[in-house]
Amino acid sequence: MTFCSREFLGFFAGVLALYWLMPWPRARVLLLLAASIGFYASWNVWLATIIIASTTVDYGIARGLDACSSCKWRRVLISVSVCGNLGLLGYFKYTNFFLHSLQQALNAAGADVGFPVLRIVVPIGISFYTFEAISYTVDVYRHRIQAERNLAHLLVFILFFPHLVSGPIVRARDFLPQIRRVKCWDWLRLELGVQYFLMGLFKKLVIADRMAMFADPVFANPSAYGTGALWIGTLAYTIQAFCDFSGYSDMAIGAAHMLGYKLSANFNLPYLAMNITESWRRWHISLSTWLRDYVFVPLGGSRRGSPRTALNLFITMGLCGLWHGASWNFVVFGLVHAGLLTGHRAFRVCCERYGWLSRRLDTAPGKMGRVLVTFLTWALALVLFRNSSVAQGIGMLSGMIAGRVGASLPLPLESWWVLIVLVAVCHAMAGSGIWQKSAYRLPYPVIGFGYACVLVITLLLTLDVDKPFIYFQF
Amino acid sequence: MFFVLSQVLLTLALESRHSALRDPEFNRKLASLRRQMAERSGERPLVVLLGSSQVGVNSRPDRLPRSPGCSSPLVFNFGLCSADPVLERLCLERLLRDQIHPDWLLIEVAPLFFNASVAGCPPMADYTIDANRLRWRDLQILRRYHSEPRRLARDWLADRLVPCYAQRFVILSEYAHRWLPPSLQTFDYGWRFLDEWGWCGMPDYETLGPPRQWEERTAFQRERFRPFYAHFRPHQSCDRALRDLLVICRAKGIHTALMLMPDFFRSCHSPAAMAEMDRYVAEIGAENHVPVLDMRTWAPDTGFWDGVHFVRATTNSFTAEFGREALRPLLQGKPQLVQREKNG
Repeated sequence: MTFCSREFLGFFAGVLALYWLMPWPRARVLLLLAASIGFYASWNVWLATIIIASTTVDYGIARGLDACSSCKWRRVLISVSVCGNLGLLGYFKYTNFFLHSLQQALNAAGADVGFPVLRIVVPIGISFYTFEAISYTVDVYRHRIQAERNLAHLLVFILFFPHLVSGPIVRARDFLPQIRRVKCWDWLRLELGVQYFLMGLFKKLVIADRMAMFADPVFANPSAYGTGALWIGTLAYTIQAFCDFSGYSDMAIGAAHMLGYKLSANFNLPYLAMNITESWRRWHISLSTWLRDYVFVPLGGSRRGSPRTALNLFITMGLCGLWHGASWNFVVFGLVHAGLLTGHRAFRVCCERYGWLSRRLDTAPGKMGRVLVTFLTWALALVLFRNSSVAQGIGMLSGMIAGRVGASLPLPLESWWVLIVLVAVCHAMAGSGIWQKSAYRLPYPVIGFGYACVLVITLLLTLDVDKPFIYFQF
Repeated sequence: MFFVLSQVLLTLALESRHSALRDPEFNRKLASLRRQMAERSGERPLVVLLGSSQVGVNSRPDRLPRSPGCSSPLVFNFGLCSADPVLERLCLERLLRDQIHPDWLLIEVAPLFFNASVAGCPPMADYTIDANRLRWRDLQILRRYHSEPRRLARDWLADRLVPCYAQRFVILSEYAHRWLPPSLQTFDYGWRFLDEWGWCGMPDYETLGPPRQWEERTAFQRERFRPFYAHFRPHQSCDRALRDLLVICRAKGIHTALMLMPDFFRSCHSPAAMAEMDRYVAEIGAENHVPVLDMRTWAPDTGFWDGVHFVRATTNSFTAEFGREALRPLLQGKPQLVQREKNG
């Protein structure tokens, strides 16, 4: 049941109607819990029980952390929670990867070892909800929040269906108070939710899925294509990755708004970033801030000198890459970004030393150049991310940069051009604030007409409502 | 509200001015047929060929030999993609509803396409009929033959509620063909290459192409029908539709004949299946006093582009032969001449 499917729209409409018809706040929470469990169980009933069980354990641990004053026992409890959650993630998502890597390493060392491939079904959204659970118990351990006393509330925090399978990664301190707050029907909020949902639907169905049409054949067999096709495929994937994931996040935020909840923004026009550090502040914000707060800062952050900062960045970004998938190309993607972030820190020091360089980069052409360079760097790094192996990614990158004769894409490119220009124009409008200003000034009928047009165009250009979101696999 | 209004307007447009978009294949053929009828002189009999794409692609009325001295019939090809007897029945209903009364109706019977010898296999119409193409009155007819009439009605209603989604590929193929995804680039082949006599001249079928590709295509088709080679038992709904069709023709005074089109798969069938098919077709023909034009061996295997559709040269030669040895004797009241087999 994906957000774009008819089943989900029917399910959500039913939940929404029931939710607002119920006069009792407690019953609403229980309804959300039941709906969320039902939503997850529509994929796999047994895996739903795993989340419920692990959340119940975390509930108990957090209560224990709250009640216990002994540092030693608190450390034991938090270790159990973190190890338990990471163990769950590691078992379901990484067992085969580690076994395969170990086998390759042993084989390379001369040992003739073969490990079986285990038949493990990866619970959908496990990377997201384990991180939420860890952040909850760690925050209780750090006395940043109090342990939740109501198990149903904690379950709703973890299982809340709009963010359950692909984020945004929600923090307990932001979400739990919202569950307790009594909610009243608000037309403006509903409108906001519909706006977000519609925008997400457009991004996913019109842009991302159509861009996949250009990217998929190229990444399936990059060695067959010439330089032009490789660039077309790469740029298409760059747009697809953004629109797919930010589209999902928008739909999640919109659905949550309609139910009276606010989820944090996950994207902030990442392709307008002027450097790679800013890119990570604008891209998958909930993950990058989570990694900053629970990995980078505890490792020492940037407080212990440049070499240690670089090491911390490499550890954090390596984990970030691994979080995305159980494959070395994701790890390499993370490490490349760590290198870029370290390089950017060094370049910043350079700019501070040479004032003329800063001044040049702060001119309008300088800023445009920075945006372009950052965008292209991001796009090239995504080549490693999207390919099935590091070697294939490097081969594709060399084909893009060095030039290669090969097949061209056997597809008409009109829609590719139109969507590239559309994304660029929308970024520019949103970045300059024109979008927000005009949205406030326009009369309601015009806005309504605009939404109707967007919905009609979305439905007209939809290729397949069942195409899964990229981040479902993570 | 604007969205609901837009869908209502689109529905109205599809039901009136742009009704051709509702079922482009049928409506384009209908428009061509009307033009042909407007041009014909009064005494030329109208012969309509009804069937699947095997008829639509494999017979070319403009290439039929003209017989000097007598008034040659107006032959129109109304073969529709994936049509089985249920769709043929619907097609006749629509023609009659549109005041088109053929003098002769030549109905393709392709037993392979409505074989129910494999348990649990639904009739082809169940998955080839697009609820979106149907009007309310069509739905009433199809409900009698569909194995899941409620689902059909539900799909029909859902498609009516959001026409911009249900009709999106037809609208795109009409106004922005290059925005169709690669998998649907051939989606409109059924009506894009129609000529004025209803023949579907798909460019792919111009030549056989490299032998290896031909072998792959035909092997794929052979494999596709493999479960049905052992025995033949007609689907109940298809059988009923075919019989109903013949009853309607009799009631309306339309002369009919059953056509067995050239069959690429004849060598794949077991002798038992062949005998069952022959018996079924002969029985239907005898019960309804309808001649059977058995042309199953009239084309060599190498004349098929993919095991179902002919390559262009075969279409031309088959059409000439069909006109000379099947159609002319039939119209002259000597159908027995065509109930023989030829060596392919």
